[in-house]
Amino acid sequence: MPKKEWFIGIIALIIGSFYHFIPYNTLRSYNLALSLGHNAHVIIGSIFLILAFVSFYRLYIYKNI
Amino acid sequence: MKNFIKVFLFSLIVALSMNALDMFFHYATNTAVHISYVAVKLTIIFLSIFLISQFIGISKRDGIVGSIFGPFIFWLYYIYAYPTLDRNIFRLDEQFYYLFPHVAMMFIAYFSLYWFITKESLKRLYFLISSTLTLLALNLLYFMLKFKIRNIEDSNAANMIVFSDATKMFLISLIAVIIILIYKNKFKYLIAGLISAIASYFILNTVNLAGGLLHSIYIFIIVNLVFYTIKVLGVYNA
Repeated sequence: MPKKEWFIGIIALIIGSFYHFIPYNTLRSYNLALSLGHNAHVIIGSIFLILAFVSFYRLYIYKNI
Repeated sequence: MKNFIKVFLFSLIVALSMNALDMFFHYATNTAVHISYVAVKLTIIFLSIFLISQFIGISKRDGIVGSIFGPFIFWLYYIYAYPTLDRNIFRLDEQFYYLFPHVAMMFIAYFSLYWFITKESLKRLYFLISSTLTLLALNLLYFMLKFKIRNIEDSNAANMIVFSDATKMFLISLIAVIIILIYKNKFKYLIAGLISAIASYFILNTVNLAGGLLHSIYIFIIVNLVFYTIKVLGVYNA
């Protein structure tokens, strides 16, 4: 079971950080902007970061409780 | 409480209550608030609470974690996103210290509903807090959406509702909840909805907010829906 949490957590953390923290112009220059505006990228990043947090929190619960 | 619909409703009520407190705080402190801001905050707070509740659970510990994490991720969103309002003209709540009142609001929103569901003592007080705040949020969102549908710019819409208007909406919500709490009748939801709809028709008659009959019908519907939802959540776990 913890394997699933690790997998989802790491993937979501990478995607979330990518869209949340990398500047919009950099993403656009590499054609990674998905035809979306800057604020849409940040909210997608936030959603993935929430997912990553929940996965790691679940992992913490499994290990400690 | 692991049922998907119950968790969904729980998270929705918590997110709405938190946003009601937040909007009220914005009007009180004269920091700009408009639908683009509220929609993002509602989405992020709802998702944080919903995912934690669905995949981990609803408990005191999860409430504390969610109350800190939800506002934190929104603050993170806010400092990286372009503001929809001009920071030079409007006062926005993006400074780090605003995180603390948001955490406190989240705590009130989460635990008023959580304790309403799990505790036997002070149930009426928790019901009053949760339902009044949810009704206030839905009331304020109605007007914000109305401004958006009318294509009013966010910068203008941010000034169209003031603190006194928000206070009037709070009183209308409170009237409905007090009727529910003191009136012992099987039609009490309908009566509370009707009285608050009539009250909103006469109280909210300012130039910007004149909602008319449509708003009164909306109030009648949301009063019944919110009371029914909170009651169902409370009954299931009692």
